[in-house]
Amino acid sequence: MKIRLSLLSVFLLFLLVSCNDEPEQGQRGDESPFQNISTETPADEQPSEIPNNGLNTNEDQLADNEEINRDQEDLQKALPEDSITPEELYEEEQYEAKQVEVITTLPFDSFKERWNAISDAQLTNLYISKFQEMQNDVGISYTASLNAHMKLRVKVTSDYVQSVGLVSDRNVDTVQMLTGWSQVIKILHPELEIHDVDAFFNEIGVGPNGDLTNLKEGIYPYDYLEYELAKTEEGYVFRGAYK
Amino acid sequence: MKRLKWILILCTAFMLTILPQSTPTKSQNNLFNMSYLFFGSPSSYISQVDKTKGSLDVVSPNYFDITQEGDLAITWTLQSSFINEMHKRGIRVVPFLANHWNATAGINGLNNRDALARKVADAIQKYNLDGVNVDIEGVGSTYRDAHTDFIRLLRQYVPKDKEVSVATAANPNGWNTGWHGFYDYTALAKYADYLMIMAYDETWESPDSPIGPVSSIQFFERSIQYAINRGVPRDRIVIGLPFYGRMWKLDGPTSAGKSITGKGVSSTRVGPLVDKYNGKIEFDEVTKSSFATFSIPSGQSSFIGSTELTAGNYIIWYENEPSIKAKLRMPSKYGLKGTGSWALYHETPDTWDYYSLWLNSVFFTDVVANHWAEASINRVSELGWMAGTTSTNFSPKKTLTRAEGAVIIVRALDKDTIIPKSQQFKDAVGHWAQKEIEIARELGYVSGKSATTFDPKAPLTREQLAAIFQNIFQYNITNSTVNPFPDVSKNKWSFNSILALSQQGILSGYPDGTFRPSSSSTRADMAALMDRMKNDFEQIQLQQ
Repeated sequence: MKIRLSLLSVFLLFLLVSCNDEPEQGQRGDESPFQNISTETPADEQPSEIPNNGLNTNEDQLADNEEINRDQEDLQKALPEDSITPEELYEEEQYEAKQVEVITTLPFDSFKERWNAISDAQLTNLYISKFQEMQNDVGISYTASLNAHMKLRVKVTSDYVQSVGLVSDRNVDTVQMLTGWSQVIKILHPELEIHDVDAFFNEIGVGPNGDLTNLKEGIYPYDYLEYELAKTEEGYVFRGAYK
Repeated sequence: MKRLKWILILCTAFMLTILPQSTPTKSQNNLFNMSYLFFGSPSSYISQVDKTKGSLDVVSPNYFDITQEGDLAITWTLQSSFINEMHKRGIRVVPFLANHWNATAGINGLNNRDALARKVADAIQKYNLDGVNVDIEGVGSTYRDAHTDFIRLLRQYVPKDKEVSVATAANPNGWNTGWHGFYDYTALAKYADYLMIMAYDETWESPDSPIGPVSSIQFFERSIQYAINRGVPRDRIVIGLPFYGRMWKLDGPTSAGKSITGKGVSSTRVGPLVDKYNGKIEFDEVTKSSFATFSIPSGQSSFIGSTELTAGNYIIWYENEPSIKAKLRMPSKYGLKGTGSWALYHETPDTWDYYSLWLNSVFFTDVVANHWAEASINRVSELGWMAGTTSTNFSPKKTLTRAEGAVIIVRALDKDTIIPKSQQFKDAVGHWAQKEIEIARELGYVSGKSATTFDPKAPLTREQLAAIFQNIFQYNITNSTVNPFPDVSKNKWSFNSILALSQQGILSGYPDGTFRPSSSSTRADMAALMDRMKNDFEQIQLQQ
């Protein structure tokens, strides 16, 4: 009986690993699903040293890129997909932040007022009442609870917002979480229209009735920003950061 | 016992006969009303609709988008729970299909129209929706026939009991080219249940836009006339009102370097800004539109969404009660199907206190049908001479005050845009009618009780009213040896005025032969009087 159970467990584990691999590969296509939404030209969307679709690149460059892609895939395969915690994701951000310049688009001193004004405007009821501060080497992180299941994390360097992340747990109301995501986009990307956000959600696989079965995790560059969507053990992290 | 049975049967049959008549549906009696749902989070959609207090027949949310490739995308905002809740309330859910001014998406959608129409029809069935409102904008007139054909296809694929309607650009100037020429009103009306004319965006967000109303009454009315002249049956015309305004910063960009030139603003935001910065709201009688002006002092700021308004001078042209009421008269005037609006969330909550009433020409709830002055009250209200005492009440039995009398006269003579040169009456300072009282004084229509007192709250007596009218119209007086009213002495200061108006048949005495000069009048009396003198007032307006 014990042997049977062990065999069954191994088989199930195998199945689980196989199933996890499939969508991961499928999600990482050559094109960002966000590219179609941008109003700017593809040349503007992509830094010139990262070719968009292989045009104007020589074979060596292509090979290099493929190498990088393979490395990334291997690394991701080695890690269980659900193992990233919001804290770890944030630590990664901090590390990345060391390597980029400070963006001075959005001052933090009016961030709370600005966020709450958007809450008013969108009737979201996702208000910031107070922030908790956490100092680190590259700046300060501020965390605010929007409700029992959603937290906002704002990374600030030299008094300017560098990224805004929305961390939600598994008990969150899906529509409210999606509304929170749209609010993150709205504050970082104020010139975007509501329908641009709808189109973005459509591209990343958000369906009607809060259907997230086709949700595609990943990084979505958009104009001067980069949005990142990750599923964690606890729920979801949606983060927008200035490039 | 048998008799009792028969009585019961007869009563039941009688009840069954009258029941359908005694519970008329909204659509049988009232003009149609729909609104778009686009703003706010989907969690707020039900409460947004509930704020309309049962005024809507159709709600049109943003569920259907046309992708860049011309395909159908059903948005994340579609919630079946919302659709079910609307159906419980008897409201049909007809989402709008939009390209959001993306010409490529619109053109690809039209090139792909058969497949797109089928997908829309499938989605309507799948999500238990009640039809589709097609809102393709920003596509040129060369695609006019493709657009019409798309509507034909939708009519073919969408079940007959469900709606196919089209949002069309307002065309007050009869343009045939550009995106206005994209809409073949005549042909579209053959397939669509109705055309929803977007009679707004007379001004727009751009440095090129003039500063002015989003929808002046002239723009609004000409948009209706265009549709009628194009042969669209009146019962297929739905005229759309804006629930928003546009804001301009008049003295350059904000401190962040952002120019504000026609930025869309929810009507709900105007009042708080005006209150906060001690601004003022005015109504432009010519365009029947409202505008607010305010200045943000140095060092202060406010947010509209994510836009920071910093120190400077601002103007917002927007819609409020008087401007919306002016527009709500049009469907009855032209015999249209009803109104639409862009969009829920932008209107102030009080809008729904009067919206359906005015749309259906019920201007005041306290003026009962067949009230002796009903017709006069409606006429003078329609002329804008007398407004209600609240958004839905006229208070016909209320005693007319001296302030009200001054305001009515000034409005009827179209003098309310005058800025008085001085403020003479101390007891009128800060009074809601201060401006009109001083205008009436300067024009010689009214006098105070002293050089500095007007007593605005006191009743306007019949002799004072006679004097005001005589001051305005200067009627000839036929000398007569007979004093028509025993209670008005020839030496009385108001004798000539009373005599003149009596001779004109405007003011008559009571059955006992008296005039009762010190008696007051009701607001209903004043409405009847003003209605009777309508031609005289209009004559003076023409002479100006």
